[in-house]
Amino acid sequence: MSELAQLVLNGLANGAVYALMAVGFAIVFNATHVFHLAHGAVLTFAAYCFYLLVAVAGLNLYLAVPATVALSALFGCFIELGIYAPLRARGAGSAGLMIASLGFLLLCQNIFAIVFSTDVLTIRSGGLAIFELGPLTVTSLHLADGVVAIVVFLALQAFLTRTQHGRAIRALADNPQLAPVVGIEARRTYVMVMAIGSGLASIAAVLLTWDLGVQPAMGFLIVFFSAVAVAIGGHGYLPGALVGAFVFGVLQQLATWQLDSRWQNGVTFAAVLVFLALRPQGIFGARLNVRKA
Amino acid sequence: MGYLVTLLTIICIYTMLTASMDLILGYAGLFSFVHAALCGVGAYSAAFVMLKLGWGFVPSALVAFAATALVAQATAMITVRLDEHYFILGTFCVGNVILSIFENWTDVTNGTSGLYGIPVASLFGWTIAPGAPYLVFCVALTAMVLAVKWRLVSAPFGIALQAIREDEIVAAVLGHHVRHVRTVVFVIGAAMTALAGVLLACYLRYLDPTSFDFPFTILIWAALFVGGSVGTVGTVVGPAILVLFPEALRFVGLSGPHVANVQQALYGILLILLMMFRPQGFFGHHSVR
Repeated sequence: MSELAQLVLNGLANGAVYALMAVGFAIVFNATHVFHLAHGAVLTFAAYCFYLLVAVAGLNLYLAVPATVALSALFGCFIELGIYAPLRARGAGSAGLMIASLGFLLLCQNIFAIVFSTDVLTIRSGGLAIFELGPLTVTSLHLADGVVAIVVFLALQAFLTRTQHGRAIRALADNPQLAPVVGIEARRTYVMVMAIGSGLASIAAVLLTWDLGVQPAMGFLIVFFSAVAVAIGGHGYLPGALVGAFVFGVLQQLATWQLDSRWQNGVTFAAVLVFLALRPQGIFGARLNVRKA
Repeated sequence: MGYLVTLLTIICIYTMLTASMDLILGYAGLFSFVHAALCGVGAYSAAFVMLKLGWGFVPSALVAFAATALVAQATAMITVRLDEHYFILGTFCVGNVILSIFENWTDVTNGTSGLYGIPVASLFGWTIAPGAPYLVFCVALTAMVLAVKWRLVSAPFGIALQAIREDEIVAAVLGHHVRHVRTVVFVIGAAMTALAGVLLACYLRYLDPTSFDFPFTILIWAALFVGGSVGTVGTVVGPAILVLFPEALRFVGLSGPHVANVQQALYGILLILLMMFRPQGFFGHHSVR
């Protein structure tokens, strides 16, 4: 029993990191309607930034983390202004934007592989502080993962519901035709959304880099994991992405419970498929994601 | 000469994969992310019956057809009703499950060490020697697949496919069973990839799970978008460009451990530029929007 509880706990910790990615992906997907696969490129970019700032430049963590977040937000703005905005101006729709996004992910991943090699680069040496909760153990980093994810999400939710800019983002997500009529400038709001989404990805990147290190291919899988988490939670409702990510994280750990851990990926995704077959609108089901015919 | 034959054989097999992707993605508008994994199902099932049961090319290919079509049917039953982006996620999940089976069902696939010693193709007792004879064989089969595809899309079925891609509601109102048509085209496309998988297995004579990972699917997407979706010329030109382009890089003098990365980075740039300046590819009749 305690083994199961430990797996759930580990899953929640991993889920917290996925949650930061998934919420970032969801806010971009909801507001700009781009299937933002380049979100994975932002994650890798942020992870290498953090690595360079801490391990190479020797910066203090209190400076390195904000710097990483700021650089990643700028990187997100660059993707919006350099790729998505020109594509939209040329009349590209969701498919064209998605392919270009995939292209950018591929480009970044391979540039990082050329510059930094495909090895895993780590910055942390030595173990982590461990807390014991009865029969369960939790590392300080796992605890931090959970706290950071919840705090950041609550702050984001407050921003989206209480401020003018936040309302503009939600209006644009809700009705992209009507929002400009009431004076919301779509192009500027898109840039802001990309900055916020990329900032969220960079926090996930910091936590991942501290835990496991950084490698060029990390973005590809994690962006798909977070997209799957959004699908589990339900597209169109932001807390859904958070819950979906925790569910996905726990699912991934539970997949190793009775079976050999080498089957982890297969079992996890088979379970996700069963879920998608039964409930394609996700847990909260704000939008039905099935075709109309 | 041997070098040229190698390149042409690879182009041929990729053409078959791109043609089936054109059917699924170009005509039907389904962004399938399991393409490489389905090709792997064909390759592995054919290799298994060739190695363990000693069957010849034709019966092995039939087994590969059946196995892949079955997997594709199961995939379609779950994913075909999901909308555009969710279809990608659904097929991504299926791809992960299939890859996990390749890696871990060691009795059949020999796990990550891969299957060795796949025999050369033989047709009714005649052995098709590797090299030029095998190239001719591949060309013949590819021509056959292209002919089947051309016949299929010029039939009313092909027009129904395009109508569904453009507006599924109108197509449904006009009496097309949209989900059924999508399932049929997905399974036919998968059977074509199975044949490509069998050819690949007999050509490489060695299979391992990483050959059918997602980058391979992205490569086929890139080949289709470069050549141009919806059409026949594009499905030949696209793979040719993507195969010959890295070879050109080698002649320029670029070599070493980074060749694969430079190649893939260039594919990335290519995809972005295509979407920006020529969304219909070089010879396509349909713009990706």
